[in-house]
Amino acid sequence: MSTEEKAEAPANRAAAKGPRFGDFSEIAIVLVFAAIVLYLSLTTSVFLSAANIMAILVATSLIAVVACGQTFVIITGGIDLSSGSVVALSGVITGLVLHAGFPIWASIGAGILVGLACGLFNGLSVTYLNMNPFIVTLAAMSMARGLAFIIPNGQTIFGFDDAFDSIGGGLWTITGIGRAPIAGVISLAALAIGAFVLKKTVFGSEVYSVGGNREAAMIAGIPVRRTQILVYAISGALAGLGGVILTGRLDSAQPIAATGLELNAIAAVVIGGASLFGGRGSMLGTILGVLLIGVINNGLTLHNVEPFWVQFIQGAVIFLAVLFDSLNQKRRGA
Amino acid sequence: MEALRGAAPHLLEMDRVSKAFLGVPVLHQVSLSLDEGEVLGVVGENGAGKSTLMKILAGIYRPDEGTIKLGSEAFAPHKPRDALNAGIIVVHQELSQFPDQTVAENIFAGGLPRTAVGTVRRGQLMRDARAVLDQVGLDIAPSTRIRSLSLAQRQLVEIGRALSRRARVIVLDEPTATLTSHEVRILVATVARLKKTGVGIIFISHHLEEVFEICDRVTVMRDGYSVETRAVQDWTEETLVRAMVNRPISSFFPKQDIRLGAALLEVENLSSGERFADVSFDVRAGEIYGIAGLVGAGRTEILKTIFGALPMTGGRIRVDGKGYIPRSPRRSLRDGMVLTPEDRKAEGLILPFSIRQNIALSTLKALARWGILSSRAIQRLANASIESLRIRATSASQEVRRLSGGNQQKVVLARAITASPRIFLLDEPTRGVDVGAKVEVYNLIGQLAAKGAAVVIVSSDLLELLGLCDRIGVMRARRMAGEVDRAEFSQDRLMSLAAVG
Repeated sequence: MSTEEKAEAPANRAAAKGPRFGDFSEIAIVLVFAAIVLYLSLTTSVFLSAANIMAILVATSLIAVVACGQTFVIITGGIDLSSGSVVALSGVITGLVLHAGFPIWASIGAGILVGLACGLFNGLSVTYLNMNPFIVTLAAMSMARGLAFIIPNGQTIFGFDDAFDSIGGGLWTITGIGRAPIAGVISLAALAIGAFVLKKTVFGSEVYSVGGNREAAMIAGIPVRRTQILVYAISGALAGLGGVILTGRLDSAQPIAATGLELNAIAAVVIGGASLFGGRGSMLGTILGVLLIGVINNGLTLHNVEPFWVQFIQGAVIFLAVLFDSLNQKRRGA
Repeated sequence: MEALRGAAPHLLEMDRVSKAFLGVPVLHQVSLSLDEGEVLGVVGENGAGKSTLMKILAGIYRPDEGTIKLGSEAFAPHKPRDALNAGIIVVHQELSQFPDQTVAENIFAGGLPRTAVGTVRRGQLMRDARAVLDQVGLDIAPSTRIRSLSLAQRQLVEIGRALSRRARVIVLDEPTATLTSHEVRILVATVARLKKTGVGIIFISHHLEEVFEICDRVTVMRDGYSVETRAVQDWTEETLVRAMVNRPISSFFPKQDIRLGAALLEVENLSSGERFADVSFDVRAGEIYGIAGLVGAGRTEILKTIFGALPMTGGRIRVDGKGYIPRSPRRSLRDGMVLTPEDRKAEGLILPFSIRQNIALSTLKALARWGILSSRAIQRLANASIESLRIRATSASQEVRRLSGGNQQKVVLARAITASPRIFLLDEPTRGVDVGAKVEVYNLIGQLAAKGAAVVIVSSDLLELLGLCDRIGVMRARRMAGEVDRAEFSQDRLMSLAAVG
């Protein structure tokens, strides 16, 4: 057995030395991203304008927040299909709490708490009930979507304070520097904190270990269950935050909102180099994945591509990303 | 008998086959032959080269030197399919079956009889399967699901599958390791019946009793050599065991004289469901306690139960004189106990992670402040471990899957040591480790004991246990069959406790 690995060793010595960052897939995304940016700035006049960049940031902020949570889950080898529905449910709850006359901070807190509760439901089911993450979160997706309709009786809730709406679509004026979309700042903060937690903390290490080899992690004394519960909780809470942002941006909470959002977020994470088998992935990769999706969507809009083609092209991008990953694995001799 | 055959070709002949992996020879000019209707036993300790030899026969590896002949024709398989087509079929210890499909579907998987439109001919499938089951002496309905069969029955189904592909040579790789004695009887009867059909059978086993019962001839392998082949009546248990383990011991095991302290770990009538029952032993500070026994005798499960990775269903454990109930590996680690698992790749290491990350795994908290890891502390720890355990690697950031077996094992041990436990549970600590690294691992284990740790070692390498341990408990059929003190150590004694009734 041991001898088999020895046989691989010399050929891969160079690769083995390299740090985590120089990963083939991450370099590839940066190149693809640069190529698209170059192409769009040459073929359209508005692409590099401040207004358009701002629009991209606002549009991607929601995916970014959800993808941030999704990254944690995927690195443990799990998946959270309920994010999109949880965004809608949290939005509805946030809207109802606002309409009931509670202050803005309370409504935000309620939205995030609802997401957290959904995440805990997923996490506890996966660990203590030993259920498959795919199926559990698929069920949760349906249940959360159902509740998003049941609770407001299928009605859209609208008409909020401007102060609240600015969370989603408002701009934050920083004297001397300029203005930034508040939602973009929030999502950037989430991603930055997420990156720090993953890379620098004990918990981050545990997340990677659980995904890298669950059995080995358990024998090594890693709190496997706690880690799994926490990643789903984080994913849920961030989807809750996403619900708040989306409700603010639309100035309305719609039960049908954010349908399919989880797939965009998962795609961003995978494009960013995370493995659906767990153990691999980074927040930097996710950021790149989110930006790539954002830029592609923006480009398709700028070029007035038909919506049916938009669907197709988004799918193709995901396919290529996974293909890259698969080729990469082969090259590593896994 | 062989003399009588004269020039008639053997059914299978492997002639001076050698194989090395990256310059490390694992087979040295190994020769063996097999005739029609014959059962050849291949015995030897773990690591003797049996598996590699069989993998060459099955087309998984290619030999560096030597030839294989099937009948009078040269046989040089390039891939597993070549061997299958030539009628060579290996029944592995771990079966690869489809548990939720029927027996019939499993027997004919990949070649189900079909109608013109492509649907399966159920009737014919069941009839064919019935015929195959009769051949192997299995009285079950072909429509039974595999899941509901016992392990022995599954193995017979696998043999039936081999027969249905018109096997000429069937290799049974440790088929009896996990079977109960009743199930072994069925298997023995089936093998006897198969012989009559002219199939040649290679029987790999640690169970000498069965080897004597089933085989016509026995080839002993040791350290990559085929040491000796004799007709079964020319072997005795004693000569066979000696041929298997005969190696110079002296320089290999520098057993130190350690003053033993109080009992650190006491196990009394420990049971875990059906895995094992009524196991009792105790280990003192500074003592190395070995657990011998055949694969499947329940050795690994004992360690895992003490460590809290398997449920304890009966008995008592005392650590340091105080009652102890194992709850989880995490708790056990905190309470000063560590386990290095038998299967490094599946349970011991996170293969795609770096040496550094693997070593730090059990002590993350100590390497962090306010939950934030200190990469310097981790690097320091990793470098210190690499140096003190002499782990051969390009750097601490090298992925562990790129390391040799010996160095991987050292990483596992390094992680165990950094948790600074007082009780070490080491499961097959030198499996797949080359000889040089073995000695280093032995030294390391000696040092742990010298520092006052209680060490429990499970190993299939008897010589290793004899060299390292103060006492050895022998497991047979999920129970403790006896305990031997260093003063009375002998290979024959252990082997007979473990393998003979």
